[in-house]
Amino acid sequence: MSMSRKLMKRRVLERLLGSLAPFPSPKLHLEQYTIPEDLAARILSLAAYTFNDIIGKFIVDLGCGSGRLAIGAAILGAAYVVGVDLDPEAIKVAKANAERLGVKAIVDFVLADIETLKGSCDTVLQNPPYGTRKRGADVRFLGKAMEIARVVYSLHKSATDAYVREFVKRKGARITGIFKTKIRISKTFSFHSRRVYYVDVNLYRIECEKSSIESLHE
Amino acid sequence: MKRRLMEILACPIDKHHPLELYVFEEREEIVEGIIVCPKCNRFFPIKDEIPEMLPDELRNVEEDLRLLKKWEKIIPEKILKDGKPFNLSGKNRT
Repeated sequence: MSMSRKLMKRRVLERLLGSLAPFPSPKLHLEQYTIPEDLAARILSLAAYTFNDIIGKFIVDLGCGSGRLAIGAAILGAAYVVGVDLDPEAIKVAKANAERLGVKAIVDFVLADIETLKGSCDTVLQNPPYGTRKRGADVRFLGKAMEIARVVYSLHKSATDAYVREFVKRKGARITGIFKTKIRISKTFSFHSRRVYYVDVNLYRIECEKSSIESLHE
Repeated sequence: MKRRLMEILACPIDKHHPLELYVFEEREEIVEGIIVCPKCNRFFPIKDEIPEMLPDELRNVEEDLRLLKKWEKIIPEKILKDGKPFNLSGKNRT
């Protein structure tokens, strides 16, 4: 696909995702921040067109919230998408969002903790809790993603970079790309004093191909 | 919920996989049903096409019991009488 056609598709996707309903009432302990539509669209087109990790694939979104990444993956041609979240309101909104954009038939949203997932999918796309409010939440998500997927796209605060690298290495997986960006967080909670925050984040692409010896032990 | 989801669902309590699926109403996808863990005999409801795989303490007891009652005639005895974390027998409600 040509560069300009890719860019056009990304803009269309960005507009579609921007039209979706956000969280009705963000909950602090779950660290619910809706991923900005431009960032979501960039991650999705990178995964789809640069690495071919979306089209025709089985995708899982851990901590899917209102479903932007999950629905975006479905729009770009995933075979089947599963979004998981522990917040019933978020799951309802996500489901309605999928219906509105006409991808309901290939997306499932499950009300569950991420530990409920077992087995394997092709790709995990996730904007997990950054572990600011609940320590360790970020690596719990990363660990589960690496357990079930062949390829993982995960957003983390840049400040935790060394820790993320060490964790991925320890689990026998491989970081194949780090994309640095800033995430725009609008005032969501009362302790936010400014209207808009920018947080430095890294998007990691991680390959978790299991070696044959590892698979034998499972 | 689509049937394919069963591929990656495990019991949130004992992590058993695969789980059993009982479908009560299905159109383009499953509208109502239950997912059962054969190991601990827990049932998890599917309501309005959404599967709810919640830990015991986060469950809506009244709603879940209503679902069991509604489909009593086609739900296996082991769930109606001994299903966890609660059932229609009137006992072992935890």
